[in-house]
Amino acid sequence: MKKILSLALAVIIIFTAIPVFALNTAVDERIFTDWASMPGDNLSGMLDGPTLINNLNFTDVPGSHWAAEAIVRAGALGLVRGDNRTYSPGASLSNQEAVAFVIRLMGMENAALTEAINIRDQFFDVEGVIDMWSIGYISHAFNIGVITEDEYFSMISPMVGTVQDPLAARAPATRERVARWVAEGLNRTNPGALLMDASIQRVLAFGDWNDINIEYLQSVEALARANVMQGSGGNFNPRASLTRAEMAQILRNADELLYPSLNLERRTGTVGGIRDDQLIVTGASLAVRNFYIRNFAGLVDRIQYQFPQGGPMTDLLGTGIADVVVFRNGQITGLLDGLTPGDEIEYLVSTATGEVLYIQVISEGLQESFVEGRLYAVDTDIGMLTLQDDNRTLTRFFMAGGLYTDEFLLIDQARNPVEALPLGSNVRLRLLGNTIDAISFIGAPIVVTEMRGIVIDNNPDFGYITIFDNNGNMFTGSYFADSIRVSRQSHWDMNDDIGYIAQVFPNFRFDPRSVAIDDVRPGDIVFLRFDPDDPEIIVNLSAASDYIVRYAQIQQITREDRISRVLVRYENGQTAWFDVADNIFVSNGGRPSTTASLMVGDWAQFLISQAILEPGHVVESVREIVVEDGSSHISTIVRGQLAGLEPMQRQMMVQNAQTLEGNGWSNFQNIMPISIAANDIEYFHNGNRISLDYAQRFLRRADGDVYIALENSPQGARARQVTFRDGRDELLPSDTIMHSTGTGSFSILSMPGDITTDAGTIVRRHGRLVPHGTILPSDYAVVSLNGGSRAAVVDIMSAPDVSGVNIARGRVQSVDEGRSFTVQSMSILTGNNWTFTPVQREFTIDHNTMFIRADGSISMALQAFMGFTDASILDDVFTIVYEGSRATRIIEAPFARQAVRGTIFTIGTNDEGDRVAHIRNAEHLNPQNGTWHSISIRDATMTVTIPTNTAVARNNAVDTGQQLVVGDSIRVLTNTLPATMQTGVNVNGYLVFVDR
Amino acid sequence: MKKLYIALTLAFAITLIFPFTVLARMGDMGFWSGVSEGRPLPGTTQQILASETNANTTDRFVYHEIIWIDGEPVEFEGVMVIESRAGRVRPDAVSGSYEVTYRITPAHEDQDVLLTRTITFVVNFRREGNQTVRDWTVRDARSNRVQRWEETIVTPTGTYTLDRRRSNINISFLEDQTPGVLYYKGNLSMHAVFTRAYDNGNGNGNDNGNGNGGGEVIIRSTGSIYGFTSAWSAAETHRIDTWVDIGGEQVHFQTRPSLSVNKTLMFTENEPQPVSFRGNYMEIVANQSSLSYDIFIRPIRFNDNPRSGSITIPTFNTFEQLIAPDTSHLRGHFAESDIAQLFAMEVFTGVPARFRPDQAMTRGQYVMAMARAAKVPLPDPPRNARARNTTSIVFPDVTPDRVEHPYIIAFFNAGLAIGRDRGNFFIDAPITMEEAIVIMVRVLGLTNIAPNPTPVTPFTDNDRISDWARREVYAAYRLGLIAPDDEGRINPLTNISNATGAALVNRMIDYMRHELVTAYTDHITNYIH
Repeated sequence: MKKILSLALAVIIIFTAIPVFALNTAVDERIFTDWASMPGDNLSGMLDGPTLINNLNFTDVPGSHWAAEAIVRAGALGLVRGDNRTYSPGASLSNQEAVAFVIRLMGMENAALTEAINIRDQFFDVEGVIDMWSIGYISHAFNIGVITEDEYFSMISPMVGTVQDPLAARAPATRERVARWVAEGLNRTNPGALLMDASIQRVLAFGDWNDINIEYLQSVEALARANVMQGSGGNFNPRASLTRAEMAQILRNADELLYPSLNLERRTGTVGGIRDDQLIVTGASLAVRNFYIRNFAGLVDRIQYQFPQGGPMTDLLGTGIADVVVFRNGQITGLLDGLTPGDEIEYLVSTATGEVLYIQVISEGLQESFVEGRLYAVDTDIGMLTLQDDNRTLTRFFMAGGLYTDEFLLIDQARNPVEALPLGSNVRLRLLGNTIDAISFIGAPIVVTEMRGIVIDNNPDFGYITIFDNNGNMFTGSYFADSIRVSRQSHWDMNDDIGYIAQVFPNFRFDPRSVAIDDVRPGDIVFLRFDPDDPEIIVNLSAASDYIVRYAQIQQITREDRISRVLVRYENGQTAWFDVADNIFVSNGGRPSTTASLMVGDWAQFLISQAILEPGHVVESVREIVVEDGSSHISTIVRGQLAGLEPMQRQMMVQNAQTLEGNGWSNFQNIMPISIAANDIEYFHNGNRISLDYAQRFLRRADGDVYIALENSPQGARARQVTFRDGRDELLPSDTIMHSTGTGSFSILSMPGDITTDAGTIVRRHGRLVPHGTILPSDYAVVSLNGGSRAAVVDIMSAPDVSGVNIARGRVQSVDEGRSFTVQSMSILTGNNWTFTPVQREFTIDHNTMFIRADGSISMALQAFMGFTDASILDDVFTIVYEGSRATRIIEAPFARQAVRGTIFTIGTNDEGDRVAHIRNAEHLNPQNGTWHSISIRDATMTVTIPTNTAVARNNAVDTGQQLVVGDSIRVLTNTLPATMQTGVNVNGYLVFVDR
Repeated sequence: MKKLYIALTLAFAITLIFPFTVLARMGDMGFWSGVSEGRPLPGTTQQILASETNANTTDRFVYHEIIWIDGEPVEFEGVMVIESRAGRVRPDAVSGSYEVTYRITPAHEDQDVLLTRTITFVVNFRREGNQTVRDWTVRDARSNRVQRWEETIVTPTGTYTLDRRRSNINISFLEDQTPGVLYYKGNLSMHAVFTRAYDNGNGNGNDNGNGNGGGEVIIRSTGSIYGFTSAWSAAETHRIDTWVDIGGEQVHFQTRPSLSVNKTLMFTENEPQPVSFRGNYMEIVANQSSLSYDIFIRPIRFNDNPRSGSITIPTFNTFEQLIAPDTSHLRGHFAESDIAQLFAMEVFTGVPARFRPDQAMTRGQYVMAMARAAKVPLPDPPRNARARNTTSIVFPDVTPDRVEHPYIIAFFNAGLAIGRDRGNFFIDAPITMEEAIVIMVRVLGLTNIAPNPTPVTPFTDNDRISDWARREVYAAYRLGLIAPDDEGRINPLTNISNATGAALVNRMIDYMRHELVTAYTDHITNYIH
């Protein structure tokens, strides 16, 4: 049994003693290639490494001892020594031991040994001194001033063996005294590392600071500040003794201050890979295990473990096993057992010899971690990557050397050029230790950074734009107005025929979307792209308009220089003011028009852009106006009494109904049904707003009159405003408003005193229902009063005026077909008289010029007015209606020099299609003296036949007799009058003027 | 296992939710600048009685059209019969085709113009989610021959007959179904060639050699069609530009036919005092049909005639009484009429006396009222006990025994995403103002009125509006459904009372009754573009 055991043991020992050199593992994929391309330092183990490892395995310092690492570290650095593989960590440090420590940490070991030889030579006969092992240290310490003279003499006093004197060499060193020695020592080797002149502050934190001897206070303060000596339990314990373990810890605490004097450098890193190799020299071979360390700076250091493998020339290589003291998990071991890939290590490198003196394994195994964020910036000069997380915090990481070059960054194994990095993309970093080992995209990489928002303000003069971004935060970006590229989808561009390709390849083709930055307005939706070199500058902008459509009626217009201030009233009754610029698009009757064509009372569709400057503060501006076609115009005003309602059919029955015509209230109907299907009918009782139910209950069949304004909707005439009044109607003849107060009171020429209006007054201006406060002086209106001097209806229209109609008769001399014709002489009609001028005159013809023949046929003068063939009109005389130099109508009609006039009371059409009007108050004109004579005393009526080749002039416009209605007062020019003018005669009217 | 049931029943329910049982009522005016009286909306009782499936239908309308063949508008009065063979399409089909035939004949012979038209369209449709495309064509896809299109117009100047080989018409519609409203738009293009047989008194219809006979009339039309259908209203309006070439003379005009129907309420008080209810509401179904036209170019001899005009078809409004629930305890309350109307329309159910207007309205109650108001189709009730046990449980606190259950499930299936978190629905928790507004806008399907996303609204308490609600709140503001208080606030996180909830539900119904109809009728017909 024993044999087998020992055999097994032997085998184990053999196998452990002979390392196997065939390893090739890595956790860091690129560690080997990076070593080849960007090597750090080539470090080696120490030749006395194995010995050290052996010696430092103190039997009385188990791995779990609190100061185990400190002791091993101090031992590896040669600062402390054990004695026969024991360290006696709990033993008190004697004064001489303390001094020896200090001298060693100052790196003056050799000097001390030399001094020892000198002393022994000098004092060869002094007993005890020579035997002191520490004489060299003490003497040297005194020489360089670390210990005082008192201390020196006390320590070398030949009272060897007695420990009463606290300064005796073997007496336990007090903490405060050791503090001073360490401080002095550090101060001399690393001047300035300790703040020796610092004010006493840190010491005061110790509970027993008062006990500290004043000589040592400064040192204690300096060491406490440098965290070299911390005390325990809140106290410093100045006169307590120091254990050897504590001393080792003090050395550990002071390592940053120590290392420069010892020519040591402290590095951290991760074991990236291990690879074995062989060095073959003639006659000898060396097995090498290379440990590749990715250090904190991203570079790769290589620590070499050497194992001579024999051969006759081994001695010539002069090498032995090069190993390093490795402290791993409480175990003191060498490189082979101490390091595995993935370990995070701290290693002390001798800058002088390139040897690694000591390695502590901080954490084992793969310290892989992941972190995600947005790629913010990359600096390839120092190898650093900055990541931004969701809270906009920036964190910086070093990158493994193989991840980047000056030109490329490796993401997902693909090379990304550094000047075009997908900044802003979401990435995941794989960290080994704290160094980035791999970068990968989360989702697809963002190629360009875009920001979206809604414009609050755009200022091209100063080159900045302010937007609300998607989260509602305000953002201001700047741009150069002459170089920023702007594309905008205007609301009139339905199709984007080119698309984005015009942006990808500028100057590709005409792109209607390319506009100037001035076209981007508050309320637009924009996407911004920034300059990759300067993320604060916008270089590219794409916009789309965001409009809403509102329907409103114009209540007031004030025209100023280049803008009009318009008050509108929406369908729900709300009002708003707009500043309408003169150059916005206005459409009227299906044609482009201008703001000058807008009239009070017009309903229109407004295209409004709404810019929210901040919550609660909205600026609206009008971009386009489309005026309604006239469906809301008031076609008829009806007066009567309310007979009843047919609520299910939305009808109102009006009894004794009459409509307002040119000659007053006429067209009597017993009961007239009126549609009340419209949505927003307003009902009034005198000036007060009421509801339909109120009217139905209290005002049915009441005595007073109800006035109803009917609008011209496609569904037929329907009521818009209904006003009940209590008084009797009194219609005034049409008249001009002389003056008005602007609040609804006005006066007219024919009636003294003011006429008042109220909210219930129906005011119709050129067909549009307008508020009662908009009656202006010089308006020409028909006013119907009800109850004293209150107006129930004010119907404003153009004053009847035919003076603008130009009529002449001329003989055609020549024709330029399709373009113009010339008359050799003409007679111009003014009033009722023709004035002859022998002057030639040319009239132009266009597509609107009508050529009306005697039989009433109408054709286009452009085609039919010719100077050749049977249809030639040369030398014929025509009546010409003209505007300026343009002929609008050329009529073949007899010379009409006789005139009659009267008021139409009946009008109809006969079988030939002629209009036949019966007029009363008929008078005829005496051409000689220009006076009018009534044709009969009793019944001054006559008939006027108006053939289709008659020109009827009304309100400075000319048309045929279709528009004549009952009530018109007309003046008719005819060629001949019957010999006797009496009741019932019939004349043909060739020119008719509507005077009222 | 429960998840499997849920998945199965949900899948089943979803296919039933939008079965497109009743095809949209497009094309009731034809496409030829004419207007008909249109179909009425079913009254409340009729809706309960009707079973909704696709069916072959035949509808007969009074129809008026403006005929332009002679260059001047002449109103033609006729009768239009629309036969739809949609019954052969299964309700849940995602594509298919069917035929629709229009037959137009004169209403009486004593007219200047007599039109006879028979045309059969083949309607091909396909459905993608909530949107359906319908293509109306007259030519067979393979042979490119017109199936059936015959048209004859008799005027004093001659008889015009359609030349089928050279004529074509194509209309294509896109429909979008939102929970409460079906919106559709169409585009129309037509090219019709008529040959004229001149009536020279010889009766032989041939060219008599005077150059007055024969000839062609070419009519080209292009137009847009807009329409919608909802539980409370429906409308369709066309804007059609037409060019007529009468062999030497050309006419260009635009017509805007419009057809709308809506239901409004009217309260009638009872005269006798001893009667068990003081009064009740009536629902009036009103049709409006009209057409307005504008002439841009015409032969010069008509220049003195009016350039625009309109025709309308007189219609008769039907009405129906609604029940009179006892809301006497609310007499004089601020929201009395809203609540009484909602009870009368049976949007609110339950015992009216238990309705406390000052209490908070719960999420379940509001969703149920909205679903009833918009007449969102409900999932079929479980047919047997087994189906009852496996009825979908989407939210743990919405159990099938709750009266609000089918409505919440219907909303969930319609994608209104109304759970507060994917777990519970919080059926008895009060609903906040912003949640109520979001539901209102989504039922109308008008979220797109606001930009996406909406970073900021005009309300001063904009920051308190939750991110997911901001878009709908802005849309509601733009549509005029809501308005801020005196200080510009909308108070999005306040719980709303029963009275406020009633006001919001009634506001949505009013919007559908009036403003939505106005937007699809007056706002198109009154503007020449």
